[in-house]
Parts: sequence; C-alpha cells; structure tokens
Amino acid sequence: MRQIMISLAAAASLAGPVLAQDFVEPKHDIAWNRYYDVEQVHDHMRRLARAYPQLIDLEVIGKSGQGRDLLMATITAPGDDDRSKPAMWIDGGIHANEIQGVEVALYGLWYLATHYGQTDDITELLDDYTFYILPIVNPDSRAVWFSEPSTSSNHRANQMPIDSDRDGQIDEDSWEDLDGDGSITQMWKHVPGDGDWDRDEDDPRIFTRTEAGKRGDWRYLGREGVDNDGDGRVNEDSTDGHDMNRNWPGDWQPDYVQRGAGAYPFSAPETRAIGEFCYDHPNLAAFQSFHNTGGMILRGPGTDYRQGVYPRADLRVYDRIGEVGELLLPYYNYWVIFDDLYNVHGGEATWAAEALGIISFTNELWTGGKYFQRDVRPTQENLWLFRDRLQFGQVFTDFTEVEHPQYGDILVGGLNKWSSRSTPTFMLEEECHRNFGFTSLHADSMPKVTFDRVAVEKMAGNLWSVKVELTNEKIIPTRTARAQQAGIGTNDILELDAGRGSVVASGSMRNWFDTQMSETRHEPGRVQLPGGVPGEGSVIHRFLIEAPEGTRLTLKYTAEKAMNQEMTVELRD
Amino acid sequence: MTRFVHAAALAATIAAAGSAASAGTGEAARPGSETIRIGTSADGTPIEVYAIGEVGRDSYGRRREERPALLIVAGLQAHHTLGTDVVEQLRQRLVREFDGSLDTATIYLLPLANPDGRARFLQEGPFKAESAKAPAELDADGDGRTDEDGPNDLNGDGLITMVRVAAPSAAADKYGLTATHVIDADDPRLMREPEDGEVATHAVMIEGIDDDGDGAFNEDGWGGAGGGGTNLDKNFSTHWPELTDGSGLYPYERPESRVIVDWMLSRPNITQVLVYGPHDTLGTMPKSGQYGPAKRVPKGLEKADEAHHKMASDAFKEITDVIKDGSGDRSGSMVQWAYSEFGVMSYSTPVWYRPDLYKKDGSKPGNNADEAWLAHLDDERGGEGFVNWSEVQHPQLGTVEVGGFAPGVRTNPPAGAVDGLVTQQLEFIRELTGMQPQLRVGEPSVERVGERLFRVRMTATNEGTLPTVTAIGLKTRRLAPLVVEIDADQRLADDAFLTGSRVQRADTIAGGETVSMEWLITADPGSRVRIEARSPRFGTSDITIRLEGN
Repeated sequence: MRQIMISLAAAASLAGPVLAQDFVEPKHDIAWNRYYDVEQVHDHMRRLARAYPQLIDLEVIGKSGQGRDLLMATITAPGDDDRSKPAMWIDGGIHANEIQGVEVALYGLWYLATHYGQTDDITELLDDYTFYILPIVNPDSRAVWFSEPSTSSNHRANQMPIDSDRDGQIDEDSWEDLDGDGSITQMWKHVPGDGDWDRDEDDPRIFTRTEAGKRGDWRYLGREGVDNDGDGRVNEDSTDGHDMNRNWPGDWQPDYVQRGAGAYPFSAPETRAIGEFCYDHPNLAAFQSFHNTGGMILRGPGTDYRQGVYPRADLRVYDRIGEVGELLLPYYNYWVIFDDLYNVHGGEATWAAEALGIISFTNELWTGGKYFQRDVRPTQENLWLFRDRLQFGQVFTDFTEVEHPQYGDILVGGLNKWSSRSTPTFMLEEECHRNFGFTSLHADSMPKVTFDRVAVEKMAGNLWSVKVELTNEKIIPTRTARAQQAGIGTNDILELDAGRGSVVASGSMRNWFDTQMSETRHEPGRVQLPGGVPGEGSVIHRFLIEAPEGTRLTLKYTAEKAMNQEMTVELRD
Repeated sequence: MTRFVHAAALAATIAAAGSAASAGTGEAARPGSETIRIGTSADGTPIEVYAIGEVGRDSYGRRREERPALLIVAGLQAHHTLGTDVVEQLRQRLVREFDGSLDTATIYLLPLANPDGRARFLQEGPFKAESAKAPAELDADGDGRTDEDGPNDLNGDGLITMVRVAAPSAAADKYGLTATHVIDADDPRLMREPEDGEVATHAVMIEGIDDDGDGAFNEDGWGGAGGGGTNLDKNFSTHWPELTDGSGLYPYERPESRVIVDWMLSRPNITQVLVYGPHDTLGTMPKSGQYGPAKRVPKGLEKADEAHHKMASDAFKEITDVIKDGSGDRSGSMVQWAYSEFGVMSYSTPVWYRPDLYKKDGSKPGNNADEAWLAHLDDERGGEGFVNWSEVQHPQLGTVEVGGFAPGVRTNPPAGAVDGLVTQQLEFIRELTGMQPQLRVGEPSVERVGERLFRVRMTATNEGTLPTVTAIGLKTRRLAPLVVEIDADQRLADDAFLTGSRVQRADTIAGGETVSMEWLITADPGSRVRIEARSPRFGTSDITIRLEGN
C-alpha cells in the first residue's frame, strides 16, 4: 500500500500536467460537430484572433464578386515576421457546395492557435513556419448554399451573373423549393405504365430504374423547379456563374475547352485576390486546398500534356507526402488528377504547383468507405441503414405532393442538401483532425536550412580555404525542380563577405571530402544556387580567400523559401 | 408597330464612358468621334478608345454602340510606333474624308495600348534601345537584383546597337561567346552567317557590358537580351507563352492588356479586330487546322473561317504590298486572342514593311534580310538608320566594334511615308466595314388560319457579307445568338403554341441569308402578342402584334 502511493506521486511529479491527456483548454472553443455559415466562420476567426492576438493576424485580402470579405488569417510564432519563414497556404470552399472544406481549414487555424506553447510539435511548427489560412474562398455561394434552398451539388460556382442558356436574359430560370423544406430535392411524376422508373414497394423513398424492355410507373423530372422563362426548359439559367477552380493561370483554357473557366484567368475577383497575395509572398512553399468528395489526396498535372512540368525530383517529394497521407487518412487515395480522376485546366492546386513552383495538394474530403469503415459495401440498403440509424433521417425529405405549373401533380422530395457529399456531422471532427494531420505533415516538410559545417584551412601565406555545408533537414527542397525549370522566383544565394580580404575563387563540391571543385566562374563571393538546397540534402561550397590571419568573414545564405542564415568565421589556422 | 428598345446595359456603359470624353485633345468634341477612357497604364497614362460613327440611329434603328464595329488597336509593341501614328491620323481623316459608311458601322480606334513602352522607346536619354516591352522592374535572371544588367551605350551615340567581337579569343571564351557570323567582304557593314566553306569569325550581341559581373551580358533590363518588362503582345491568354521572356507572370498581369480585354468583353458589337503591329496575318494567310495542346484552340484559323479571312486578305493585297513573314509565333498575342477567344475575325499587319523583303508567296529571303535592309536604307533613307561599326574598348572584352541598325528603323518607315500609309489603311477600312454583318429583323406577319388559329411568321436577314457569328464564334459559344421570344409576357397558355417553340434562336446567319421563324398559335382573335428579338450584340427590337385577319 505504501509503495503504491509513492510510485503514483513520483509519476505525477515527473509527467507534469501536459502529459495528463491530449487536451488543452482553448481560449476560444469551437464545436466541430456542426457546420457554419459565412458569418459564423468569420466570427470564429475574429474570436480566435482576439483570444490569440500574439499568434493570429486577420486580413481582408480582397472582396468577393458581391462584396463579401475574403478573410484570411496569418498565424506564426509571436513576434516573428511571417515573411521571414517558409509558409503554407490553406484554403477551402472554392466550390461552395463542398462545404466541409471550410471547417477543415478553420480547424487547422484553431488547432495551431490553441496548441501553440502547449504541444511541442505544434510550437515548433509555428516557430519554423507561417500559415496563411483562407477558410472561405467563395463566400457568395456559401452564403446562398446556407441561406437558400440548395442541393449537395449546386453553388459549386461563384455568383457571377451570366447568361447560361444564351437567350439574352441573365439568371432568369433558377431552382425553386416547391415543398419548402429548405433544399432542392427531386421531382417525380406518376405515369402508370408510361415511365422508366419504379417505386420500391417496401421502402417508398427508393426509386429504381425499370428493367430493360419493361415499362415503369414513374418518370424523373429533375431537380425541383419550374420553367420561369417559358422556354420549355427547367432550371437552365441559375444564379451560379463561373467555376473558380478553372480560373487560374496554370494551363488555363477558354470556356469552350474547359467549362466554367471564366472570361480569362483571374477574371474572378476571388481568384485574383488569392493570386496577387501568393505572387506577393515568395515565402510560400506549400499549398493545400480542400474540396469534396471521394477521399482523395490529389496532385497535378491536370492533363496528360502537362506531365513535363512535374519533374521526377518533385514527384518523389509528392509521393513521400502523399503516401503517408494515405495512412493518416483511411479510405483516401493519393491520386494524380488527370490520370485517376479527369482533365482539369486552370485548376487552383495545379496553378500553385506550376506557377508558384511549390508542392501543392487538393484533398477531396469524405468518402463512402467511411460509412462502415470495414469491408462492407455501401449498397443502397446499407446507405439507408446509415441514414436512418446514424443520421436519423436528417438528410432526407419525405415525398409530398405538389402542383407544378408545367407538370401538374408531382411528388417532391428525396435526399436533401446535407446528404451525399458533406461529412456526417458526428464524423466531422475526425475529418478535420485527420486532414489537419496530413496538412501539418506537408507543412513540416517545408525547408529548414542551417549552416551545418564550416571548415577553415590555411593553404599558403594569405590564401585560405573556407568550406561550408548548407543542410536542409526537411524533404521539400528550397527550390523545386519546377521552380528551377521555369525560372520561378529568385535563386538561393550564398555570399561570403571577406571583409578586408577578398574571395579569389570558389566552387561547389559534391561531397565534403572531395579535393576538386566545380568552379564558380563569375562572382565567386556571391554564389547563385538555382537548384537551392535539396530536400534532406546539402550544398557544399568552397571559397578561396586572400586575407590576413584573424580576418572575420561573414557567410550569408538568402532564400525565398527557407529562413535566411548568417554566421561569422574567423581565419585562424 | 415597331419600335427599337436599346439594351439598357449597353446604353449605361456608354453613358458612363462618354462622360470621360476629353475636352483637351482637340478633335474629341467633333461630332461622330468620342473619346472613351477605358483605363490607365501602369505609369498612370490614360488608355483611350476613339468611337467613330454617326451618333444618331441608323436605318436599322441602331445607335453607334449597337452597330457592328471594327476595332483597330495600335501600339501594343513599344517599338512599333508607326501604328499609333497611323491611328492618330485615321481618327481625323475618318471623320473628315471617309467615303465608307459610318452610319451602318462603328469604328473603334485604340491608338496606344502600351503608352509606357512607347514613352520608354521614344525617350532620348540616356539612350534609345529597341524593345516591344512595357517596362517594369523585374528580376529576369533570378539573381536577387532587378534591372541590373540592361544594355549600355558603349560608343556614346545615344543608341543601343550591336557589339561584334572576334572569336575565338581569350576574352570571348571567358564569357562563353562563340563565333556565329562573318563580316561580308563586299559590304563590311553586313554581318552574315557563314556560307559553305567559310568559318565564323565573330560573335554578335546587343551593345552592353556585364554590369553585375555574373558572366552574362544584358540579361536583365529593358532593351537587352532579357527582362525589362512585359511584352503586351505575349500577355494575352491564347497559347500564352508561360513564364518565358516578356510573357509576364500570368496572362493580363499588365493593366494594359487586362483593360483592353475587359473593355472588349463589354462591347459585344465588335465583329472585326485589326491590330497594327509586327504580326502579319493579311499579307500571308494564317494556317488552318493547327491547335494548341488541348487540341481545340486554334493557333491560326478554323477551316470554315478561311474564306472570310481571305476576303480581307485579298482586299488588303489589292491596296498594299505589305507582306511580312506570316508564320511568326503569335502565342499570347492580342490578334490570336481576338480570334480564338473573343471569337471574331481578326487581322494584323505591320502597316509598313520593306516591300521586296518577303516574296509574294511568303517565302523568306533567309540570310539576306540584313542585306536588303541595308539596301533600303541606302536607297530610300540616304544611308540613315545604320550606325557604322567603330572600335570601342569594352571593359570586359577588350577591343570590340559597335554598330548596326538603329532602334526601330526596321519597324517604322521614314516619316514622309506615313501619310500614304494612312490613305491605304482608309481604303482597307472601307473594305472591312463593307464586309460587316448587318442584321435586319423583319416585320412579323399574321395569317388567320382558323377562327381561333393564327400563323405568325417572322424573318431575320443578314444584309452584310460576314456571318453574324463566324465559325470560331460558334465554337467559343461566347457570342450571343439572335433570340426571338414570342409572347414575351407569357400571357398565353403553354399549350397555345401548336408549332414552333416560344423561344427560338439563330446561332448564326450567313451573309445574305434569311432565317424565318414560324408559330401556329391558338388564341382569342384580337389578342395582342409581344415579340422580343434579342441580340445583346446588335440591339433588341420589341414588336407588338395583334392576332387578327380574315
């Protein structure tokens, strides 16, 4: 009895309160089992910024087409210049119907803020890096999705007024919520013996296609709505505008090649604002955008003919992050957009990879595998079990009779906007957390470069050799092969200021013990490193200096995507 | 019964733009010519359009901003100053003496797309250099320094020409300069590539030094071998030459190219675009059937538009001898964007070129281009425009020679030639405006078929030559069709229309073609039915008919 008491006391004093459990008391808590509209998300951001003012700066980087704020958070360690560190961009909700991307991005901000100074790994992450987080890229359509009847798949685009059916009238035939359930569901017409669908006798919520060669009793009339403009078509010109994830200047193609592309790259104020921010922040070294659905970690290229802009060296980095991502995100696949999904021209994540020359992923959140989390097929029957027993019918609107101006008496109802694509709310926190885990892995892969070794050697008289090794301990190089290939940004630069002396020659070396160097013919004291410092690798350079003993030299390493380094060396034998 | 209602959006845009009409530029107040300020350059110079045409309604009931319009754009590439000079004169002569029709066509003149580049090109000090670019601070070689290694005026003549240096030599070797040319024995001004059996003796480069000591000459500065800004004519989105010299960071990064595109997209009545600049698509026809990597966006023409382009090209060649090599790369150019994305017939001409330099069949004279230019300068400019080679001590290369063609001398004619070129362009503009599509919406007819049964017919005719929408326009789906909506107030029941959709459209109407629309309607005799013929491009007509008759 006595012994036990002692050991417990010892354990408590050794462990301290931090290790008691994986929980920190947030100064602003957010419930992660629900979704938030634009105002609520912005409110959470403002409250977080007030609770953690030393970590978070909020900035409106632009306005949406309808004038809403594009509210972005910058988060890094207190007192640090955000631009002095490699940074990661995170955004969500460019497709507004893909709602949970916003919560996932917001979760990252919340987790970083609440765990800095509490959890060593997070503290180190913010000491080394900056995050720019824009949870809502498309606030106009998110506002519509939450406040007006919607489906799980509409308001993907922005709200730019366009004449979708090219009849000289703009947005004149949108959807209508005929049954008043707050969602745009389906319309069914009972046509005994003259249809191509049948209604299930046991479960009247279910319609199935009539077998080939037989006639059914029901006809599917599409999404809820009427023919507002009398052109014989229903819902053909809604308020939805351009697909902003096709509006970026990376293999941008006009609308007749890529539907939704917009008039030209960055024609949408939202994409332009992000683009201008990113071009103005060369410290960006990683990029992540959140979409749904299907459980994917996607990388470019978006088309087969762009494979050349993803050099092999960069693909090795993508693979290392993506393959770990598959473990962190059960039922997700690490895929290539054009090869595993479909062709995308002018996408955001591919733009970041190709135009900014940084490692960039898009995650497609939520996947059918998550329903049962084992080898159970998500059959119709199983899906209804899930909807009934875990979602308590909240994603379905019962069918009711409605009199339609064009179709007469019809049935309206079906799966509502909360079904299918959004993560079920009771699973949202896990979705957020696992994706933050993946994102922070990506962030933690950004370059971290230090002067690893310096060797001073007296060669003869006043001639000295100074050999220096710059090492990047992380897997992302300071300059990707893409950045080097396309001449994006500024080279890393290694300078040696010899003070009273002078640098008479210099050259790069393959390894520390080489005796031969590859000479830097011009500006030997200011060495251009177009390839930067490789991931988990180093750059070794040797300077030959004429200077008297005791001269103090300054070594300076300058990089866009790594923290600058400076050290002094004294010439001593 | 017919009255014309003008698209409100169009009228509003013009009203707003019209208020910026400048009072201080002399000709602006002249009837029929209005100056519209569409934006400003990076340095804050206004970018303007002159809208020329009769202000009142024409025989189609259209105002100036609803008539099919020809847009002429000049001064995209800084060193092509001729285009702007021609357009400034065109503006006056179009109003004064144009014998084409300005009451059925509108002409928009955009005299200077790149004011910053032109100002830099014309600037006398510290030196004049040749560049197409709009100047901007740039770190073209990624060395952490901007504009640190542009050209240098080594011989102090105020012009950037060329350096020729004997190679191989120790100095040339140090900088990796290899011999590519020989000095012509007959004309020692001429540097040419070696012929069979000859050995190259000289390296040739832009006049300058290695300012930043990185081993490269003139690689980062305006007028040099790289950097210095953006070539607007490579900054358009069609086949944008991604992240290459002069392309800009992204399409429309420059305010000038973006302003032009935004303004054009707000002007659906533009049916033809003519660019005055270094590209030639009139003396030499662009190719058909060549597409970018997505296999849909033409690099030249759609096959089905060839005939229309040829009409313009033939008319052009009747008027002038200006032929340049038409096979040039138009990636990111305005003229290719205006065709492949904006979707209208688009042409480009340098307005002037050495007539004998390119043969009529478009074949290149190859090695002899410089020789021909020298002959031209000797014959027609008294030898002006070429700086004779003279020895200069180069700080890095030792003794070199500096000389060559003066900046802009091969893109712009002697000053005296401009008037004649303007006359040629006036003639060509008359041809182009004569080709415009002209959409006339006819009066509807009502036939009483039965007691409560009426047949309504309506026609729309293109009285012009070009189709209302060309093949590329149909492909881009950007240009609005003519949409005719009967019973626009939706008073009749849906089943009142026994034949004919209530809303009908004509995606395109060929030159001279008439399309007709017909409806069989059951309704009370005496019913009034409103028909809207909507063309966001050429105006909307609103007609109310009565269903009656014997």
